[in-house]
Amino acid sequence: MRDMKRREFVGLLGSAGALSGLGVLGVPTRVLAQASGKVVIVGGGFGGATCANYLRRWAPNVDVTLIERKTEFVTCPGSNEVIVGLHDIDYITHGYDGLKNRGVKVVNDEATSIDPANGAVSLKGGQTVAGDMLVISPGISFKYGWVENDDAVAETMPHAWLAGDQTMLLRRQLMAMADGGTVLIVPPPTPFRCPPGPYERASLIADYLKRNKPRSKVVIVDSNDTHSKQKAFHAGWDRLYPGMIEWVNETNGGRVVKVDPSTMTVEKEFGDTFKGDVINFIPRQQANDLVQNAGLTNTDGWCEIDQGTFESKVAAGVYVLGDASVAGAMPKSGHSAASQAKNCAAVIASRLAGREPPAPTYANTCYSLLSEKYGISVAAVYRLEEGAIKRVSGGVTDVDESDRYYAKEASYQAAWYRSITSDAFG
Amino acid sequence: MFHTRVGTLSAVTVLLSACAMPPAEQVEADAGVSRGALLASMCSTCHGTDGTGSKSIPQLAGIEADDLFETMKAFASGEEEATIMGRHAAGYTDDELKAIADYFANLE
Repeated sequence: MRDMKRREFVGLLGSAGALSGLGVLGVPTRVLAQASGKVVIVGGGFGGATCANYLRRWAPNVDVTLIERKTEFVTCPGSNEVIVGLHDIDYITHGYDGLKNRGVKVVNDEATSIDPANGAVSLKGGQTVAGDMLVISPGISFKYGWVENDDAVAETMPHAWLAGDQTMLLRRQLMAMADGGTVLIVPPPTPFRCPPGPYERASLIADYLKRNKPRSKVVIVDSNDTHSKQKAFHAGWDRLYPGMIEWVNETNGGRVVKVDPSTMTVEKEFGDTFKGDVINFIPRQQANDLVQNAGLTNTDGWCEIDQGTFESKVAAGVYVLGDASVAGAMPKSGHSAASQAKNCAAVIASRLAGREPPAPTYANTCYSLLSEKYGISVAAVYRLEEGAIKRVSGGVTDVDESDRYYAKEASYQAAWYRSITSDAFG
Repeated sequence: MFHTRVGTLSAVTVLLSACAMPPAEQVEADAGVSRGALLASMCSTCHGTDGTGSKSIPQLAGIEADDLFETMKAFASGEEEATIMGRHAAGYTDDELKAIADYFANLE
């Protein structure tokens, strides 16, 4: 019943465009020409919040409901700064009053299941919310079973890859560590949220240790052979923290098979171990369980979408944004999610008005701090080519820039953080 | 104003010629999302919603269209020194840069 209504609705919109909005009496029926309808968005992170904000701007007559489990969102961008004490958690915590003031209906409840065919979302509180179109920006879940014990160490070897309590737990452990200790960082195999994140974390922890516990060191036990912004990070480490950060890549012994909180060790193949006083173990990732359970993911655990519209390849009228989606050359970043969200908002606003959406355009900028005064970046513009998002410009900060240059990038990082969060949360 | 929006507005105006003109904001809503608005929204992620600026990142709203276009071209060629702006500016065609410049020129 619900399904039929939704399909008829979408069909009607298609013909409305062709009729140029002329009604039965030959006078313009503005209802058909204007975007109207109901959009339900699940997930109040960068993707969902930005989509809600821009839908209200671009389609003021559309009813926008945002479903988010928590009343405040704690961003992963900026969380490495919180871990090392450069900011308090308030700095990365954002409420939803800005979006409410823009007319978004914010429902603070947990989505427990999604019925893609009917555009319906069931909530923990018992309610079911349905829309003409559904946008899901659910983020990640951990895909346990990568190494032995990986589902049992969140309290002893905090991942801090979902910001909030985990961020503060890792911070407390770092602050409590004695001078001369070793911090192990264990990134998962790609793809994972925020590709430069583990290496920014290593940098800022080294900065903290250099100032407070100078006999300590950081070891990155990496299951990958290369990493994001590799040259720029390594050049910065040589410059700022010589000898303090050791990177062990997969080929040279970084492949782990087991984590053991009783001995605070990470075990490699053939029984060798790394011992840490603080261990930041980041589990392998996939799209959030909500979309796994709704049948919206591929065999790798991510959501295949039309890369021009972000509409799911397996469920018409359902759009998937952000880390959970397979978005061509775009990295899994908050900035990517925001860029995708604006394209998706343009598509939905246009489709609900019976119009062709504007051609898509995508951008990403990810800053990483190596210290408060030393930033590096990756920036890119993307274009849709033969159905896939391809990079057309961009790159990483060079390794031989001036101190002034790196200081400017650090300054822009703070300005970027303020603008992207304001652009998302209002 | 750029081509897409002018075209859309003309069509709406013709359709409405037998009726009273609606308020300006209603026409604006009817025009849908222009390519210029979508392109410019990519800038807003760093430069603030509607290009209002954020701390050390400059405001774009209200800059003369020619100035913004020429600056973006100079970023793209490397003539104008920048951190990330060369990497961004090189990703857009002249028509896209003009649409972005027109959009911000029309904001306060």
